[in-house]
Amino acid sequence: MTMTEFAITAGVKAASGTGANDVFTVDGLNVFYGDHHAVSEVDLAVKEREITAFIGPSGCGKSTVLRCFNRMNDLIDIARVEGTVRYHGVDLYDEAVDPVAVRRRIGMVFQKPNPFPKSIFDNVAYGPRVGGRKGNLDEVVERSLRSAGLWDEVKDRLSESALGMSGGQQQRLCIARAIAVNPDVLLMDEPCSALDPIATGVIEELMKEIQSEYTIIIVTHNMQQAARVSDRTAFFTAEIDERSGQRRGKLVEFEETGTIFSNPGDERTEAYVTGRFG
Amino acid sequence: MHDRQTVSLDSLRARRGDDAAGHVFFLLITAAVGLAFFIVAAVGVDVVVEAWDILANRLWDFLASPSSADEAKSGVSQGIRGSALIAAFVILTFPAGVGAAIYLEEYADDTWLSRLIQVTVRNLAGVPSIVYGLLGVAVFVKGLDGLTGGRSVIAAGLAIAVLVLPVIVITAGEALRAVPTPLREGAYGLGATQWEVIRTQVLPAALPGILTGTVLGVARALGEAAPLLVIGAVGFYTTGNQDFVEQLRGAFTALPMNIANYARLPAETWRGHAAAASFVLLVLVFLINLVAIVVRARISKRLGR
Amino acid sequence: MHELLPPSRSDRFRSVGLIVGLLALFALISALVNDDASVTVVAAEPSVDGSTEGDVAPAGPLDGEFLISGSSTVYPIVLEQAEAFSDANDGVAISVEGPGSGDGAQKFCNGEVPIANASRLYKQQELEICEANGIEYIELRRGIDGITVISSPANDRIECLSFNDLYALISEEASGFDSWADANALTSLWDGTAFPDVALDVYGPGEESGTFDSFGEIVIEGVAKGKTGLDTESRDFVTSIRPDYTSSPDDNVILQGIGASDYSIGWVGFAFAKEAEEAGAAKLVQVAKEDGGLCVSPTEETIASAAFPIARFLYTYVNANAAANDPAVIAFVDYMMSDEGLDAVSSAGYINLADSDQLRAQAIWVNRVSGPAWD
Ligand SMILES: Nc1ncnc2c1ncn2[C@@H]1O[C@H](COP(=O)(O)OP(=O)(O)OP(=O)(O)O)[C@@H](O)[C@H]1O
Ligand SMILES: [Mg+2]
Repeated sequence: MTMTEFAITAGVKAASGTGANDVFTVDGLNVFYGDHHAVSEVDLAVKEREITAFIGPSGCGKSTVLRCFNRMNDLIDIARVEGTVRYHGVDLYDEAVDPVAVRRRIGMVFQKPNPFPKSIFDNVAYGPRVGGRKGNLDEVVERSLRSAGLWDEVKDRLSESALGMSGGQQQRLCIARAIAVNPDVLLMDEPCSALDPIATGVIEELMKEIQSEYTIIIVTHNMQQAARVSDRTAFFTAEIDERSGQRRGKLVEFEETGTIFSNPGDERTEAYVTGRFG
Repeated sequence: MHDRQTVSLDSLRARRGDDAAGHVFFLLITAAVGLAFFIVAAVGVDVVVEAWDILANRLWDFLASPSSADEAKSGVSQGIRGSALIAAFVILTFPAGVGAAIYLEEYADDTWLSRLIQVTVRNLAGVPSIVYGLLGVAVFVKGLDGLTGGRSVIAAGLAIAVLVLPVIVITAGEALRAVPTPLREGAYGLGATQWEVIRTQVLPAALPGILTGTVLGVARALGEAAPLLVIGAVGFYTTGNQDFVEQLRGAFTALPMNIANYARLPAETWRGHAAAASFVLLVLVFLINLVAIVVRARISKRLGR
Repeated sequence: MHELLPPSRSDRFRSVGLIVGLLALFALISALVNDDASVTVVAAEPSVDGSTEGDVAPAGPLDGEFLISGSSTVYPIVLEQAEAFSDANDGVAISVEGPGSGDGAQKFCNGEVPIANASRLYKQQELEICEANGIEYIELRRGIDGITVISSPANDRIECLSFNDLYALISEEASGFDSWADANALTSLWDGTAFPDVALDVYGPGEESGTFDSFGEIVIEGVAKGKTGLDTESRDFVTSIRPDYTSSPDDNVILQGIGASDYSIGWVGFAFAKEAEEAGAAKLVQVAKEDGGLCVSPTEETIASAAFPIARFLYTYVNANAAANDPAVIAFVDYMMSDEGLDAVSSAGYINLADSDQLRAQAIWVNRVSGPAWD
């Protein structure tokens, strides 16, 4: 499905005025969990074939914002999203948009590796299968596993349970699984937080390699990781709202990664990236 | 150097009384397990001892013969048949129970209505079985007379299925709820629809739990006596010229009823029959549980856990 | 290219299939086993048909189905008769249950069953239900349930006990009495017997037994309801048996206990008591209904003539309409009331009616006399 087709499926005309190579444009995004106003007024634009990093202290709403990009928040009953998230100009939260179609274009890798309790093969083949692909999936599986740098390790045990793999392998399997549906964007929520430095290195390399084909957004607590892999970095923080007394996440600064780390415009960013944050 | 070592070793040494509460608790739970085991063993031994005469001399005959006034001929074949048919009804309602659980857990919005239904199901599971017997008489024996043929094994099977249904809904619901969120999110994240997620991830993961619930339900169905009494399980029957359907719609009995009837007969010689019938019921329930454990283990193994 | 294994999605559903299949198999096998068994029961005995002569001579093998309900006391008798009858008439589907006289009366008077047994006559309000539903009935006396008070053969001090004495010794009010003299506290209230100070050990059947029920209903309830001349208005009598007696479902165990102490007391069914007495293992105690009344020894004759007071008649009610029109019911009651069928009364441990009662019951059946026939 091409982008035009997607826009037609969604029944929405692509809005004009967005940057030519912007994949996402976020305008006035607010997210609520019931009464809790968790994220307020986020504006940002994610560029095609770039790696964008979200950093910030725990609870500031990084995951929440990330999950708006593929409507994962729909799965949470109490979650409510206001503002617009445009994907190639199409408002993802338009009534006519099918979240299932969105998720086929915008894949996700989670903080904890969550392989299905199936064989390695079936894990990778899962996305294509539910996407309606019939017939022989050997090629897709192999290609995805190769892209995730996992092929040589598992080619002889494809029929074994994915739960028997190491944590790092599992996470790479989850990446392969996400790649197998041939998405346009990969959302990665702290993909390396459960991994050792070597496995982390493998995945960082992997991200660099596949960057030519995918737009990637990564949430990370690892400052070096953001500095190493990302082109652009968004720094979020949480502030206590005076009226409600609730913690409310907001975007402080969104710049090229080099700027964020060497010459931040906001002192809160500087405090955070230099490790002086409260 | 030497000094420091002595001190640290000393501090590592187990001190009696350090974990007194823990020890007491351990003793208590050990005692509880022992007591439970003792009770089960005592019941088992008592049943076997009382039933020994029959078990040793005419077990097969006892299993294959209908009830009779003659102690040497009387058996539980009709009870086994009735209990098996009742169990079959319970198994037939299994899809309805699982379906209801899927609807409540996965589809229904969290409204006051769905909460009311949840609470009602829970309460239904706690309703004394005799009430289901009365319900069975009103609905299946009297109301649906044309279908059930009145006081028949169909009526009893339906009543007991209704009795077990809430148990299945609750255990299936709990099994569904226990499916980890990351599993669902993983599937959703790959563009699976809600039904695909349920079919390919949630149900398989919940299957062992759902099966356990069903087996508990079937075991309970096998042991229920009160509803059978009100619905009208008889002590003795013959089938005459009835064909298969007429037999389903005719007089019936079940194992718990066999036990009650044998126990009620005045002469001492019938005690052995009551014990032997109890033994048969115990073995059946045990076997069903065993099958469930094996199947559960196999599924779990296949799921790689 | 490495061979990639094809998926096997249906694998785990095979396990579900396994469980369902096993249970289905189990159902099937037991259904078959049962069919086999019902085939082995088939044994046409033409001799039984002799009793059906006269009224209806069914052409060809009998066909039909009916349920017999009512007293659990009568259940063993009917069980035996129903089995013998269906052995000879394998076309008739006959079923027997014993939920109790009252439940049986409900079903009978609502027209649900054509035959119901009772260990008592139907009460007025039960008969009113029958009447309201237009159910006419034939009331047949079947036999006698006689209960005997026994003691040790070595007991040389107790010969005869009244209902009131038994109440003072065995009712719940006697809980904790371990000497006969303890009971004097009660008997003295109504100027009754003064018992000696000897150890009192009580034995009897367990609660599940019909003999337990009958003894409680006839003796203890009889006293509590003023049927033995005591003024029940003046004090509260209990209607239950003391919980601290030694119970056993096994008559032989009761007998052992009775023999183990000189001044034991217990109660068992008549048939068993008589055997025990003949074997020198028990002494049958005479019973008087009222204090100072006539002491009666339990014998077949005294029980059949109702002179012995701890006994009750057993009845069967037959729906008059079925008795006129349902060949299967007619054939069964014919057999039930035949001399051969009546053997079941004694083989189930009860006492046959006196000849006059027997003849009268048979005549009531043959002539289909409906309405109350006994008192
Ligand atoms: N499912 C939910 N229901 C209710 N509140 C939620 C839910 N998920 C997140 N929140 C709240 O929203 C706020 C932001 O959470 P979020 O998970 O987006 O933070 P985060 O920046 O990803 O934190 P972390 O770095 O710890 O992962 C928090 O206050 C959190 O409590
Ligand atoms: Mg997070």
